[in-house]
Amino acid sequence: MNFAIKSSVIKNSFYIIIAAAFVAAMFSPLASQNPDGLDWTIEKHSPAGPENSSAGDAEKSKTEEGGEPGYFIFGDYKTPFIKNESVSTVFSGFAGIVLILIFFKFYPLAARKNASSSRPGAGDNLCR
Amino acid sequence: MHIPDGLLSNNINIASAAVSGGLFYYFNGRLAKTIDDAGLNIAGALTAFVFAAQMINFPVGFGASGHFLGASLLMIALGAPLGFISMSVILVIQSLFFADGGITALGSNIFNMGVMGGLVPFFIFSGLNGAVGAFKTRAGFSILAAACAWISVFSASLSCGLQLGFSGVAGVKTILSTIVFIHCFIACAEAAIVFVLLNFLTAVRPGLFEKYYKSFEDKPAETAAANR
Repeated sequence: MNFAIKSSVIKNSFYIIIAAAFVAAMFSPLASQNPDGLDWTIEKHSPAGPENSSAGDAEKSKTEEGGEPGYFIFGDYKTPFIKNESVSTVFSGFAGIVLILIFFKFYPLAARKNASSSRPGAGDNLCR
Repeated sequence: MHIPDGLLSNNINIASAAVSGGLFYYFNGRLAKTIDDAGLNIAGALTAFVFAAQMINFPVGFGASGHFLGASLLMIALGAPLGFISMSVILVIQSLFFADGGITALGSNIFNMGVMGGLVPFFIFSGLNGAVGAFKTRAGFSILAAACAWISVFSASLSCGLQLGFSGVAGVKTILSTIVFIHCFIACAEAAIVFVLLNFLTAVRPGLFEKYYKSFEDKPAETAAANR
């Protein structure tokens, strides 16, 4: 299957999708506070109730006091130095978007290096 | 559906990590041969969008909520190798920086959401997309993608339930029925989101998906299939 995409299409789409990502992050404080499908399932089957479920404990140990403070920079999608909860969540979303874009900025360099050092089937790829 | 640390047995985590790691290595190698900067730009943007969209939990009734998974969308838009890498990157970043999904359970999370939630529906999608004429129109393409998005969440919850069951969280049957039941509703939302997004994307940027239906519109089915 050919997955090449025209570069003019890419240029326009790139900014539209990035904008959509930032808009989505801005809506994140509106997210439902109900447990997600997995947590809901575990709470249902935890004999000691939701408060003592193993999933709850695992979450707490990571994000709340007495766990591993500061180990996860944006633990529970909160930014440590921002007190306003909504702003804190939105900012953590922005940070995640930037982290992903940074990865994809540097990924080609790493992948090419990998390709040039071990490319046994280079014959099928002469045009690149 | 991000499994935290300490929930799954070590054996399951290790086995899943081996499968996920092996697939990551394989797809990374395949991608390195055909790497293309423009394709990576769009991959970065879509990955960032899926990450942000995953932050928005929506209520699905029964006191539970769900969020967009996006694995099927990434695979359909980017192809299996780049789609799998993108989904893995989201899960790694969520696990390392956001405490969403455990680090020891990362392999299991990538297996559930990348392999079961991404590759499985993608292969169903590509098989049907190439074989059935009705899916070669824009509407057919979006409907098929939405159906695969539903399958994506369903199969991810199925494997998640099996992992939890075999780790002794509860009986396999009990946990499977609960987790698959609630994810059937979440899957409907996923299908609706993918349908709307793909309808929008194919309308404003049809070139992004020309690999699927430019060939369908320009050539008869047999030629399109032979070119794959």
